[in-house]
Amino acid sequence: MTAPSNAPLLAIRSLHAAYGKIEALRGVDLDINAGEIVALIGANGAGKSTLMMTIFGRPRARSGRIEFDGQDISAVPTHEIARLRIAQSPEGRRIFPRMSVAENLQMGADATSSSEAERASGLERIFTLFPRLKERMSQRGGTLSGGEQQMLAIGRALMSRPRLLMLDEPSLGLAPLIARQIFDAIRALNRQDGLTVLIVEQNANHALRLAHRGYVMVNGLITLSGTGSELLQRPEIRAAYLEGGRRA
Amino acid sequence: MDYFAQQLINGLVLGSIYGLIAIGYTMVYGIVGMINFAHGDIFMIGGFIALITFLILVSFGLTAIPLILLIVLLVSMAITALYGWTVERIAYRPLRHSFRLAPMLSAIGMSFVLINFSQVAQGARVKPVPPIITGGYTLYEGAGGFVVQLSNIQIIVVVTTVVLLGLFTWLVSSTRLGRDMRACEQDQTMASLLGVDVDRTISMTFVIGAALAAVAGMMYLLYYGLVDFFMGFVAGIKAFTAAVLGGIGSLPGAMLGGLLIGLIETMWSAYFSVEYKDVAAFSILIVVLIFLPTGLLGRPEVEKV
Repeated sequence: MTAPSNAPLLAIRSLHAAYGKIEALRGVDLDINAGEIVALIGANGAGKSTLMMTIFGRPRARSGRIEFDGQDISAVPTHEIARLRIAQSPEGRRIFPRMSVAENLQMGADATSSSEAERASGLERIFTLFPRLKERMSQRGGTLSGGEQQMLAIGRALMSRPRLLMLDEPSLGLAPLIARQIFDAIRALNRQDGLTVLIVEQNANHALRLAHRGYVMVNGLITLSGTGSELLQRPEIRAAYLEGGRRA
Repeated sequence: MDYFAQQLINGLVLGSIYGLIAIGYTMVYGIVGMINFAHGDIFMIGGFIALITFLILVSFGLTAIPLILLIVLLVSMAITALYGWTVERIAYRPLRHSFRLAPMLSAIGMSFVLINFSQVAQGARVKPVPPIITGGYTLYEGAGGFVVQLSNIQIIVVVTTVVLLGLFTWLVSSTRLGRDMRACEQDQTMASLLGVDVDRTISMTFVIGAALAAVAGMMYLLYYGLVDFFMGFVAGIKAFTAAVLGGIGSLPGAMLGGLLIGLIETMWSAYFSVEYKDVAAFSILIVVLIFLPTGLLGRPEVEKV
């Protein structure tokens, strides 16, 4: 709120994090500007998901800074980070299986204090992007198909009216048609609603086409960064993440 | 038939008390995955606080029975809830990320602490109270002269249980706190990513469970007219059995299990032998666990993700 308008919305500086003795992040620097889609690509185990979770303090950063809107959030309790309006559709989607779709969405709305009107317009926006969720409102989350669960995970995140939306592998395990629908929705949210997005993807081709900028992560370090199209042209990216086939 | 009807009434009353305690076991198990072995003793504490509050009110010269009962109910719920909160805070929370058995062992320790604390503070002797609520209705006079009776205290126990269960069901299904509790039960990490204060939610679970146990303690005091420092042990194990029978983790299951255990125990005492009523209750548990390991209303662990 006090940050000058040209400062990044999220600034990560020499971030270290570990699970026990295993170092997962070994000095990560990453910026996300307001209004951008930033893609983070890399092989399995590179630390992409860990980076997203470390932003939420799970695990806690060992050292380094995570600045959101000029405020260092690396020591803020996890549940309070959500209230700063950072939202995540995490790895594995993590839908509440024994809650209805409506309740799952309500959990997102509960994360931040929103008025009845904001909640209604949020729901309406989600139903425009994912009409299928509307038909499923009273169904239990655990009974949805994979694609519907992904839509719900994104919808739930959107209900908190996020300033930064983080998506971990939103296309994982989905049929190409459904994956396209998800990517289209992310693009629409960015272009039409001005939403800032950090997307982690194994589908580097899709992600880099969608993103304004991208980062490549290897073994807990950022090794490359650039605009989406720049990265798509780099031979080492093509070899490792595109032509070599998707890494499962 | 008349005899059976009378036993049915008695069984349902006893079952209501077990059910109220069983909810505390099943809620805590659902959210933190541990058996809170001190919960039966929280029920005992509730009984004592009800007794103490009652005596204080009477010594102040209060005579309006409904008013006394209401105050006793609220005070014992509040103070017992504080006990529940404290037990979680000092004995379980520090061990939450320890090995799985640690909080359970700590719970057994807490159970001893509460039992011995009550014994030292209140004495080892059984504390009787004169009947506070008397009278009742004769439902039916059988041909053989057997009378089916429904006493006022039985009505109060069942009505209080039904009202509380209604409130509690509403809380869990329709309020923010209830939703947060279910979210923590299903995925604590995700709940915290969505702004749920997991520690606070777990604390509230213990508070609510203890408040319901306090009601059970007060009902026990009114119904049997006595409390003692050791009453939490057997009642706690019965209620735990009820929770497992109904399906641990399931709230309707806890209530159903409570009613069933109450009925089994009463019927067994009525038709077979009083001495073996506990054997009957626990045998049913064993049989159910062999054929229905998740209990009557429990859900199987497999869930589509």
